[in-house]
Amino acid sequence: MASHFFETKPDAARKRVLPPTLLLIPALAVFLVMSVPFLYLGYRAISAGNDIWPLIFRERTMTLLWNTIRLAASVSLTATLLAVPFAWLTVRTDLPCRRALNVIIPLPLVIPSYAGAIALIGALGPRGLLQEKLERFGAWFALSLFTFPYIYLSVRSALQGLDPSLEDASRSLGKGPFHTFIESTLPQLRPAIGSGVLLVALYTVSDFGVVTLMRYESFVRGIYTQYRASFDRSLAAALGLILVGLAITLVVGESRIRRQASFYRTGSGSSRQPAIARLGRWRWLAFTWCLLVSCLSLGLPTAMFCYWLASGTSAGRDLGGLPIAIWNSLTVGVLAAICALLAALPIALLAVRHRSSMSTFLERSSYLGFGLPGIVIALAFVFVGARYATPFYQTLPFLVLAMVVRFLPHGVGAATSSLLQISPRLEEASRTLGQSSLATITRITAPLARPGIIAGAILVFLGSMKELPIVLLLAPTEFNTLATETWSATESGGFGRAAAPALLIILLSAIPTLLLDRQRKVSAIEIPGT
Amino acid sequence: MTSQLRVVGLFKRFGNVSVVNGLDLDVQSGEFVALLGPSGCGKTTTLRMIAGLERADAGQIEIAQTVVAANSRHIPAERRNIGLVFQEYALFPHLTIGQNVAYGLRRTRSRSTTVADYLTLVGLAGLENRYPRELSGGQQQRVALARALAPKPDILLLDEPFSNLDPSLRAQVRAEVREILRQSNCTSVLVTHDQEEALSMADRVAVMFDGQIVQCATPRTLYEQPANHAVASFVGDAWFVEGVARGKVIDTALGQLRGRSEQHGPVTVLIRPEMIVILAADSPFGVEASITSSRFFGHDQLLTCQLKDGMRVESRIIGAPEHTTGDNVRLIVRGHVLSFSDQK
Repeated sequence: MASHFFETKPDAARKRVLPPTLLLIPALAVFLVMSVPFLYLGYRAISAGNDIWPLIFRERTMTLLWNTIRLAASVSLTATLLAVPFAWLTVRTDLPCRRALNVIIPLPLVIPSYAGAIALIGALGPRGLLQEKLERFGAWFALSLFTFPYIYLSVRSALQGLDPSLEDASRSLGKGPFHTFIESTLPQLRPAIGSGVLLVALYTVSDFGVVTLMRYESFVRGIYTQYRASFDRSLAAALGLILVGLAITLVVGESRIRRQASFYRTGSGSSRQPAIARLGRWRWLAFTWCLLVSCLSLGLPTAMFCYWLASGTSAGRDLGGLPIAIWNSLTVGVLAAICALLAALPIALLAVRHRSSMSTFLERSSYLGFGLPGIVIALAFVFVGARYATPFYQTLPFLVLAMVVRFLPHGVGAATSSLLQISPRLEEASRTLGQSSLATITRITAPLARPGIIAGAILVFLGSMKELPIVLLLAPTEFNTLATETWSATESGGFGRAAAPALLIILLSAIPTLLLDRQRKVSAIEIPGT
Repeated sequence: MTSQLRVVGLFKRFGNVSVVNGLDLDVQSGEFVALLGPSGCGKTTTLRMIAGLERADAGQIEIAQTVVAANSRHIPAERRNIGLVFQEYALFPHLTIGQNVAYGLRRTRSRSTTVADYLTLVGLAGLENRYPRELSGGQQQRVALARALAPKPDILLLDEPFSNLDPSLRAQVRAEVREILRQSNCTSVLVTHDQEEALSMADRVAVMFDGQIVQCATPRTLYEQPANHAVASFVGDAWFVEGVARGKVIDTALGQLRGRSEQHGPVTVLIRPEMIVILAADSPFGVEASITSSRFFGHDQLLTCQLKDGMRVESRIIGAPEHTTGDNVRLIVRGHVLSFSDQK
């Protein structure tokens, strides 16, 4: 009781002290590597001279921008409308097969959205009755279907952590279940919905595969066309900067909402189980709805690929390139995961244990990569690589470096949150028992943070398995990954060829996803709220 | 006797808030001193500066005749040879009990024997291979104690170690810890805001207000002869009665009281509830009063008594009550009283 008042004070006092050099130097190095390509991107755009401005602000650019914003808004809205009821149904009601649905609903996340779109087009598309509809609504439909699990996961965990006594209080004050949900529960879920929507909106804004396949004129497509079409790539750079601006606006906007709503946040919740709502005759209807959506988002792509695989292999299609593609994908994924975590650790350690304006700045800026669409990162690295790093340009290390920049936020996020769970008292205890700070890190901090750090590595791995534009622009020549194999099927007709690599991506992603789930459970036991 | 811990003129600010203001403290070898103060008085910060987890702005700290902090000198926690028991125990969750206790020990052949010895000392022999989460709060706390004691620290620091325990368990664990510390003959400093804990455990109690030590004395002296009103109220229930002293006699609304020392002029007399004895209304002694309310605690009870002039005092009665609310009674004050002179 007595010490709580001063527990936060020592951190305030540390602001004047410079963070330890042992951590600061690697953190600054990571920051430099991250920021240089973007500074160069800006430099290229500015140095292109004045003739570029009319090109940027011509009508087509505005149309593309408007299309992208419209798409992001409609996808976010649809995904929210799908995800929030699902989360409520699986957490708080007597829905049949809740446990199974809990596992199934988020699974579409392992399907790369471009692969899902290929399956959708294959099932509903060419010469089908729905073709015309697909061209108008395809991008919206596919993106909503494959991204809503982001919001679902975030809202679900918020619902599980909610303090049920707040709802009880609302009920005891005379509000019915409906009003309680609208006036008490929903406002508390707002930060969770917000961060889920941010992920979905960023995904949509930076999506390359789906919009290309569905022929939706989005900003990313504009950039890619510009990049491919002309020798002067300054315009592509300038357009890329506009996209970065859009993404940063989203991130800043979300953190505003979150700050306003942080007021609603509750503690770790109570151990008491909240009341389960009885759905009555709606029970099976709700179940059917959940099943239907899952069938579309998970069942349809899987079934389609299996069908193609079966009919394609019998037609004697060549699967010879696949083992190399698998090996390449795994190499890039594993290297990116390891490098991203090594880069994330000093930043996370600084941010959690040595809070100062410097460390906060480093942490925040590492999150910027979060808002950077893959295509912009790829462009920035193309510029720098072609000009200054020619020996490295289009080599494996360079590709991995770009992946690290893209997925560093996952690493920093996971490392930061797992470090935050470790009480500084544990490290202090180690110090008072005669261990130096380095020994404390290796003997106490690292082993305790391990589950969270592994989870972060898995997230980076999953991301880089699915990543398309970075591989397309930066991979060494003749370097095929599962992602490029899937994609090349769309460029050379015959969608059927996408089946095998797409299924392999799904399979190789599903395994670590299940590991991730187990890892979470393990870490929940190992690190109680110390 | 040599002093094992010497703190002179210690200062610490956090931003604009001055937390420790020129604190002095002297702890003798083998002594158990409690640092007692209300929430936010700076006692935990003081302990953390002694431990080396916090840097002092000014002042000097000596542990076992070695200067560990002075001016710009700051020996880090790991080289101070201190033991610290945390409020939340801070046992390493990924290590077994045995590994926790062994953590601060050198890798020698006798290490496992030492671990076993200390676990035996705290009454947890044979639990080496358990994990902290498998132990109860009281057991975890004893592991924390064994872990801190095992490297034979020059001084053991305890930061509110009992506040996370169930109240019913607390008294027992305190007694056990006191006994363990007596056996290991370790110099100890306990930080607490609980006066009962400080008085019952410590050889000496240092009362701390606003970053300074106001009084440092044995529990009995502290209780019977507090330095001022604030200390008097903080270490126990206290009522203050105005009076006029003439030598060792003090005239008050409670009658003529016997003072501890010679004084003259207006004074304030400290009355503890257990000093007030309640007599029947027809008794020839004491001053008239009526009982206005009572609080029952089982082993004792507190009766609030109102004198004729409206003044109230409380009386603590051990055992079965003879009087209840509404009764007219007479009050006398037992023993010598402490008085503070009102003259500036």
